[in-house]
Amino acid sequence: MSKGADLELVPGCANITRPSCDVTHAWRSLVEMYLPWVIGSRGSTTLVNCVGKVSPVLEMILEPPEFEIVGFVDHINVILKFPPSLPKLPPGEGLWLRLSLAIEEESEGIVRQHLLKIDERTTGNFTYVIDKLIPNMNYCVSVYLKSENLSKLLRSPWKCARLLPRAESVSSESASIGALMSLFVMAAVVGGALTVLKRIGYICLRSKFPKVLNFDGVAIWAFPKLPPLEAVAVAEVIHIHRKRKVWDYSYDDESDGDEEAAPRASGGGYTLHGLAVRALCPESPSSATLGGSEEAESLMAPGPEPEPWPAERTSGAYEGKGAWGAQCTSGASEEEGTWGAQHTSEASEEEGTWPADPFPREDSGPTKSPGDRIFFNVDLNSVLVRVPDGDDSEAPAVVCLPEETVDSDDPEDSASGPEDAPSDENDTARSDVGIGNGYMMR
Amino acid sequence: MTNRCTLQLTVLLCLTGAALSVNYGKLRFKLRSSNSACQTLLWQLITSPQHCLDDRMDFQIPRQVEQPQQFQKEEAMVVMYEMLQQIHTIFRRSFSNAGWNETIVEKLLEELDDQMDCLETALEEIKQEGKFPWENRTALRLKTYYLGILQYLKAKFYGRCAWTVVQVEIFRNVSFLNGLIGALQD
Repeated sequence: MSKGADLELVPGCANITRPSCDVTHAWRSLVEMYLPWVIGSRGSTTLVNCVGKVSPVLEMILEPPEFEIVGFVDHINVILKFPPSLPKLPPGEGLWLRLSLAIEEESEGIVRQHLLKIDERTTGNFTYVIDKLIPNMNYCVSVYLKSENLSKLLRSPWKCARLLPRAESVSSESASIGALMSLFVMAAVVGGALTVLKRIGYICLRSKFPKVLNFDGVAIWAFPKLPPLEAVAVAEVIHIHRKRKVWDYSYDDESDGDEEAAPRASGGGYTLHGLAVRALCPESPSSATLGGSEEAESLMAPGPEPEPWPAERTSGAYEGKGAWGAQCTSGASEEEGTWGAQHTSEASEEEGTWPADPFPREDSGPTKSPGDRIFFNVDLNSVLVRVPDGDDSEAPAVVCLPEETVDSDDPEDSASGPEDAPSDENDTARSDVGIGNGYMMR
Repeated sequence: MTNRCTLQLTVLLCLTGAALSVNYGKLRFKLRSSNSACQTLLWQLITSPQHCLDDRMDFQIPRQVEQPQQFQKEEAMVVMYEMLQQIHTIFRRSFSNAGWNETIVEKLLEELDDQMDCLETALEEIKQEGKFPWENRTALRLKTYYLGILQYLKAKFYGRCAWTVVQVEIFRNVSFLNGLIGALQD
C-alpha cells in the first residue's frame, strides 16, 4: 500500500482448487499493509471477489515448534524440534522481529517463564533442562515464539508430567543417617559403661598402688619406730579379796603389841589396802569390781563426803592404768614415806575415812594442815601387775593371789612410819623390779 | 473505558518514572503498550484502502528509521519524540474530515500525548546528564518527511483517499516506532 506497485499474482496460488494458499513468501516487509485479492470462479463465472487487508505486525502468528518433555526427580528435559514453522521472512526482518522462544512451566498455579534467544537460522533439535523442581509434583510445559514487534502469539498445548518421587533416596538417606546416629549412640553408651566400670574398679584393676603408697626405697627414718612401751604401760589389776582388820583407834600396849605383832605378822603393821587390779576394761568395769570401782573413784577424786572406814573391805579395786599405779608406787617410795605419813594422819583424824585422792592436788580435798596427816599404806606386795610381753594389744593375763588378811592402819605404825620407812624402802629396793614390789611409806 | 484506564495508567507510570532516573525497561514497556494501542486504533481507522490504490504515494521515510538498531538510546528517543510530535500534528488537522470516527481519533491523540509525555521526561534526564544529541540529522530529515505528508494532504485537498494513504503511512510509522523502542536497551 505504501508503494505504487501494481497488483501481483502470487506464484503457486493461481488457478488452485485448495481452499488456502501461503502468500507470506511474497511479503517484502513486515510493517507494510498488504491487500490480498481473492477471485473465485467457476469456469468463466466469477463467484468470489473479495479484498482484504492484512498487516503482518498485527496479525502474523508464529507457530511454536514441536517439543517433548521427559520428567525426572527434580528436573524436566524439554526436547525442541526445529525448524519452527516460521514464514519466509524478508532478508533482515528476522533481526527486526527480535524473536525468542518462551518455555513456560506451571505447577499448582505458579508459572515460570524461560526465554531463549533464537533467530530464523535456528534449526535442528536441542534439549532444554528445567531444573530445581520439586519431586513428586505435577508439572506442565508450554512453548511459544515471542517477538517484541509482533502483537499476537500462539501458545502450544500444555504437556504435563509427574516427577519421580524421591522416596528411595530420602529413605536411603534417612536410613543411613539413622544408622550412623544409632552407632554413635551405642558407642557412647558402651564407652560410658566401660568408663564407669573402670572407675569403680570392676574392670582393669590396677596392680600398682599409687605412687604415694609405694614405700619401696623409702628411708626408714621416715617412719621412726615408736618408742617401746614402758613396762608399766598396760597394767592388769588382779582382784584380790582381803580381810582388813578395822582399826579401833586404840593405842594400848598389849593391844599394840599384839596388834603390832598381828599387823606385823600380817604385813608389818601396815594398813594394807589390797589393790586388786583386773584386766583393763576401759569401757566398763566388770561386775565383780563394781565396789572396787566405786572405791577407786573415791580414791581418785575427792568425794563429797568421805566414806566411813569399812570393817571389811573385800575389795579394793582400782581401775586404771598401770603406769599410774607404778608411778605412784615409785613416787611414794622415793619420798620416804612423807606422803604416806601424811595420808595416814589424815585418815586417823577422819576416823578412817578413806582419802579420796591418794595423791592430793591443790584443789582436791580434804586438805589437811601439815599437822594433820593422813597416812595411806599400801602393801604393793599384794598387788601384782604384770607387764604384757611386747604385744600391747593383748590384755595382760590375770594372776590371782591368795587371800590375805589385812590389818587396818595403826597409828603407832603410822607414828613409827618413818622408822619403818627405811624397811619399806629396803623392801621397795629389794623388790623394786618392775611394778610388783613396792610400798607406799607411811 | 478500558482504553481510558490504560491511558491514565500509562500517564501515571510516565510521571512516576519522571521522578527517578531513566529506567529504560519501564520506558520500553510504557511506550510499547501505548504504541500497540495506537496501531490498533489506526487499523480501525483505515477503511477500504483498495479503493485508493491510485492515490498511493511513496513519502520516503528516512532509512535510519527503518533500521533502528543503529541508534543509541538518546538518539532513538529524540527520533521517537519527533515522530510522535509530527503524527500528532497531522491528525489534529483531521477533525474537520467527516466520516471519521472521532472517538478513535481522540484516543489516538491521547496515546500519542502519553508517549510524548514519557519521552519528554526521559529527554530532560539525558539533557541534564549532558547526553542530549543536539545535532541529530535523522530528526531534521523527519521534519522534511512529515512536511511532505502535509503538503500531499493539502494538494489532495484533504480527500478521503489522501487521508487513507496518510493513515496507512502513519501506520507504518507506528511500526517503526516499535523498532525504535527496542533500541532503548539498558
